[in-house]
Amino acid sequence: MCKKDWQVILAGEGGQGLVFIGALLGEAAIVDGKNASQSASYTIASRGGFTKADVVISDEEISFPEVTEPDVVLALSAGSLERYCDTLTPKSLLLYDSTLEGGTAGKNRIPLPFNETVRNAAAEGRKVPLNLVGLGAVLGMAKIVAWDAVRKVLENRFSSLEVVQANWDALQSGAALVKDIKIED
Amino acid sequence: MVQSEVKFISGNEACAEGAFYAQARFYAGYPITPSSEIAQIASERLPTLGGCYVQMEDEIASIAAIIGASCCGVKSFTATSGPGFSLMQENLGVAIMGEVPCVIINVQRSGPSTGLATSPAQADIMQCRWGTHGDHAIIALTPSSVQECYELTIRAFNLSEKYRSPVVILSDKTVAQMREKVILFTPGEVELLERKKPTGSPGEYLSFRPDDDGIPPMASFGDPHLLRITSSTHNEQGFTDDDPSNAFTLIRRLYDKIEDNADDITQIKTYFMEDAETTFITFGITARAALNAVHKLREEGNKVGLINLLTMWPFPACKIKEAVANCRSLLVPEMNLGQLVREVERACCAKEVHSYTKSNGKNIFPGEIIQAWRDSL
Repeated sequence: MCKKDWQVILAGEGGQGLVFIGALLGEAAIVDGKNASQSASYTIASRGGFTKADVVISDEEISFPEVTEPDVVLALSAGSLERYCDTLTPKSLLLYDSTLEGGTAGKNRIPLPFNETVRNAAAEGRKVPLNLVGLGAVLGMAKIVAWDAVRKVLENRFSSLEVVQANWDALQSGAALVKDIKIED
Repeated sequence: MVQSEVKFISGNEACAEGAFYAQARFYAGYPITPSSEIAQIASERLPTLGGCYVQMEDEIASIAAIIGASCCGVKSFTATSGPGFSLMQENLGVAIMGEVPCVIINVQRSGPSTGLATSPAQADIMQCRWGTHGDHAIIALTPSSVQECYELTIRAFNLSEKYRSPVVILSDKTVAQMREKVILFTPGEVELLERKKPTGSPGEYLSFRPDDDGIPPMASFGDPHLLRITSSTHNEQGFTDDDPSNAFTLIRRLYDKIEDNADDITQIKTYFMEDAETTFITFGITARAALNAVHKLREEGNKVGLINLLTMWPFPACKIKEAVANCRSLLVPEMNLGQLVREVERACCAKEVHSYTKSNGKNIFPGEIIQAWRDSL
């Protein structure tokens, strides 16, 4: 997918780090020389409860910072999948975790083994954060921001090169999940 | 030359950055969603700036502490949300009566009471205006973007110092917690105002004797000039005084020093007003939805415009009237059951005024404003 303006929803549960990856994506867009806004919706629970980060990216000034017509939705919880699987327009791309019940795979509705990736890495003694795997898949499918910009934001945010690399590797493992998937624009 | 800094930060972070830029060096508060980031940042940064952060036992104490710190000559602020702002009302009156500069950031969330703690609202408009008892005036600024959070917080401190008055930033959950690009000013780029200090001899100084502009110079506690502060009706010396003519003079001056300077204090932003037949009048996050709606309606050839209120109080009635002089009708979308629309009706009584309200913890979306506009035709 290649567009000028993007509306992205990163949805799941409180504690999954959705606002973090939303902020990462938005900041990468700024580094890329675009405008971006990232807003969030969450419940009073610090763990659990429906949570989402909206990211709007444009070359123009952004009037309304919330997503009105999503181009891409990442769903990391059953609740978020239920919310979006039937309400999206056919053009919107939905990426969701393959272990979640209730999803119907189809054109632009793509189950991906996010949790499996995290578990497999853990079995090898590597910590791979689920949110970064999800964002990596989003960026693999949709050319929203340049990878260089994402790398730069990670380097700005974390002083430890080890932490930067761990996050980068997680993003790449997410991107690897979608490298052979092609969708029509 | 120092370059302006571009950051991708939240409205709350921008408020904190604005306060630091304005040389605010004392924060006392009790964290509450959705304002807590301001307390967090103040606790991290103020000690590094030679300032002081105090976590208080509640919001009553929080505003009391910033009043005290300001009386010592330090620019001071606090941040809260609805339940905390309710607790602050009594001491907000103290700051008004004692003419103590300070800034209170109220990040509006859905109420009443604890309400929906993590959901946005714009329903504290009238609480902000009249929440503390008695005749009084207040200054309240309403940002709709992260950049405005930054700039209006600096402006809040300037107005607070200039008019010797508390100033409220009336933010909202969405504006406060969304991240956007913001350009931070370099030192000296924006003029910072300081309260007038007494110039005569200490013996002649009276804490509440106004200059011709209605604003008394303010000494600090510990200065040779003796500063007396009381919440009771007082004379120029700062002693309680029950003389009716003194009471009227004081109440009138406290009111007039704000309301008579509405032209200096108030700001509105206008969009597409040259030929607008209908104007949307709103503020905060709803102004962003309205701007999006205006863009879409303009693409279809509809003559609509927008006024984004950056000042809620004093109400920018004159500026609104002037801007809508050639409009046929006005539409006021707001996230409450109709607080702003009454002020608009009062200011523009000759116009056809329509209201669109929403009070369920969800933002008003652009499509709803477009539909409300169609319904109003």
